[in-house]
Amino acid sequence: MPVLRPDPQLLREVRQRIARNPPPIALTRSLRAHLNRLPALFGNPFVLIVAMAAPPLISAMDPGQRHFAWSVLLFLGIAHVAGILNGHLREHAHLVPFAFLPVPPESVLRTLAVGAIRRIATLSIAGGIGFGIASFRLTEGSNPFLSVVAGLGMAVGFALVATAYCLAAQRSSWLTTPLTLSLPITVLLMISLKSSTWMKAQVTQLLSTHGDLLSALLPAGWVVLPWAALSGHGPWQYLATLIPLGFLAASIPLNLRWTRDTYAFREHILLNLLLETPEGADEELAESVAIAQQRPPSRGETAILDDIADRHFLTSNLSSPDGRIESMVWRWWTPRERIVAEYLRLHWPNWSDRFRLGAIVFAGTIPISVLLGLFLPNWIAVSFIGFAVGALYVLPVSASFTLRPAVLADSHLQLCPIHALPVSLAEVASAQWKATTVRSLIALPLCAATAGLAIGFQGGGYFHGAIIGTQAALIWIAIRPGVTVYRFQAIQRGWMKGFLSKLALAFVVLVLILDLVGLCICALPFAGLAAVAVLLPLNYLALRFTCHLLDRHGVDAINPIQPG
Amino acid sequence: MNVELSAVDKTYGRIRALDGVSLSLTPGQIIAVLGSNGAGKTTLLRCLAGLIRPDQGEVTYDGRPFSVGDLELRRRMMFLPDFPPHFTSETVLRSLGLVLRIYGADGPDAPERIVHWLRAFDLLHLAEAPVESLSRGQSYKVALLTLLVIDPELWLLDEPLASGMDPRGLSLFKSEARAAAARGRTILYTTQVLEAAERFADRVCILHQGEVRVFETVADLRNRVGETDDGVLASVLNSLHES
Repeated sequence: MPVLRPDPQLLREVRQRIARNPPPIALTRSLRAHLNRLPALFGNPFVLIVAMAAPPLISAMDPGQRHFAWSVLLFLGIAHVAGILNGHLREHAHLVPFAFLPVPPESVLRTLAVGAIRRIATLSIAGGIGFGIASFRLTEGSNPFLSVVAGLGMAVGFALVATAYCLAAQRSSWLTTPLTLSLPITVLLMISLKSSTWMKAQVTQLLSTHGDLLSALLPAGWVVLPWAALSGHGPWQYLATLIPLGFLAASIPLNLRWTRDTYAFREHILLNLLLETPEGADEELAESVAIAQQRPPSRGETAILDDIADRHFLTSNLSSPDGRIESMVWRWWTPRERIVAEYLRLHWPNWSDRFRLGAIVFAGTIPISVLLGLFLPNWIAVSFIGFAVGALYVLPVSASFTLRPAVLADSHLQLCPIHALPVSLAEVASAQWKATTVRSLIALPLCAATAGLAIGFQGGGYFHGAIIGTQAALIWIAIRPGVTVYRFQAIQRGWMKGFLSKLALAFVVLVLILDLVGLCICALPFAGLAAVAVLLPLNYLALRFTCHLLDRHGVDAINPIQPG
Repeated sequence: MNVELSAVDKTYGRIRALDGVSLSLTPGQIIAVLGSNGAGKTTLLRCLAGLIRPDQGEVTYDGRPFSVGDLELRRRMMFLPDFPPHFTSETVLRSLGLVLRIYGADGPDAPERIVHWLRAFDLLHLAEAPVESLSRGQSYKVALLTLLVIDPELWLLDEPLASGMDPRGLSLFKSEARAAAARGRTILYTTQVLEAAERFADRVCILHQGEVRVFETVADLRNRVGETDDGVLASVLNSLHES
């Protein structure tokens, strides 16, 4: 993204405007942002559920389980705070006027960082006080002085880890999504504790025995374990986790320097303003911003004319696929289907990269299943989960060439793409089905092998597992036409009103319901294969019916808003 | 293309947007559709574009009814709404190229015609700019340019004179529309600019409360109403409003 520099005349006008009109909008937005953060933290439904469910669960746990639970909860809190603070540095309301003023970025960063530090301190102290009070109850009988020190240490540790994590997250995209990583851990933990007896027993046994070790893997554990040592709930050796905590603290100045040197916000702010007029903002100012948004310099008339003469602009965005899966799909598509596919998506969805990632997840699932099979033979659910996660990437479950509404710019109306330009639903369905078929067939051996091994090692039968993997791959080929019809009706509002043949429409709806059933029964060996055999022709018929209904009866592609 | 509307009705809830509309559009005509807000002008255009299904009546094109799957028929017409859809993440050229390929209008002469129209609309220097960075008028020029390159038999334009184009663009649009009509194209456009409609239309169609009240040439209308100077459309619309 090129650096955009506002016009000097524009800067002068904006400064005068700000001088004449103190930015109540900015202040309002800042206040609103601050107020919104607290509810965002404590009003986040997931956080609320965890906070309400955690104390009674944690209080009933033995030390190993308790330390792990506190580590996970604190990690959630740290991740959430780090996410909020990252947003504070990038989306603060004061960034809007700063974008127009000749202020060095490091000055802006320093200004915002002061506010951020205040927030860290507030949240940490509040958390630390709360934890200190809780620690009195949890450590009855131990030295109260040490308990208080432990509680305060927890507050400082929380602030330290949150700050270090927030700064490190500036450099790593993985660290900016810690909530994504911690969510499944916590959800699985809570589900397992509330689920069937055997699962609960396995989890509680695991955490009792190895909970402290697992805690040490989380940054929050480096705070919890020393607290445990000081509170008398763990050996003094747990203080060794202060070492990685020290390294984390030492990284703060390095990451601070990196953040200061690379801090940039103008392009981000100007782009946001260009795309959306801020609520209540002066429209004239927003228009000026749009004018100030300078386009990348043109390459010159000669270069443009050469490009036009070479017909580069008439070549498809999809014509040079990088991956092998994309290449196979491209070869199978007709010229017309290639155009339709580009119309639907404009660019390739990285199927080959997703396949590789899914294969890695599959590869990890197998040894995990082997280990679990040796030591915990009833953990078959983990094998299914691992397979399902890998399948999300390997199979055509997502990242498809799907129908998306074509938006009429500025008009708040949207059209199904088949109405906006002369493209038919049959062409769309054909292109989508071919892509789905290629992806499914390529994934089939891997799915069969992984499911066979994973489920087999868990005692579910190798052959049955392979069948389950096979039908999980094939079912998408069978239901793809139905998915196309479903997506069409999701975009095409009121499609049912346009059709006169209720019987034919009922058939289509029935097929969609059967598709859902077919997906569910793929977990049963052989039932899924039967579903594939039945659903493939039914889905084809449903698609043909829908196209016939469209052609014969038509439909309102645009539905204006009805007056009350 | 001969377009026939026969007793077309279209109702939205309690509102009758089109009421028994019957029109016969012959090739080589420029038709201005006028009417007050909510008279049914845009609904009429959408009906003709196949975007709306009439509740009653029929719309035929050279005797064929419209069908979503009849791509050959759909490639012979083009509808430009007041805010045309664009591939906003693409450059002007690539957005144009994709539409041309969908219409099957990417023949050997396409580059030459594109250069001609880009120059004519003063958009050549923006050919590689993202569509989303264009102003409203420039964006409409790109859509109009696409239509001119494709040159369909039936042009359906919703408020082209209020599209944000500069006077040069508007002048170019009018001259090209006249040339296209001379080649046998049918151009149907809606407008509220009465003075422009009087000068830039072979026939005018005035809608009032969903009904066609006038469908004749401006000269015939003047003779019928008994007004010899400009402003006959305004007086007709006023009288409809008062009635």
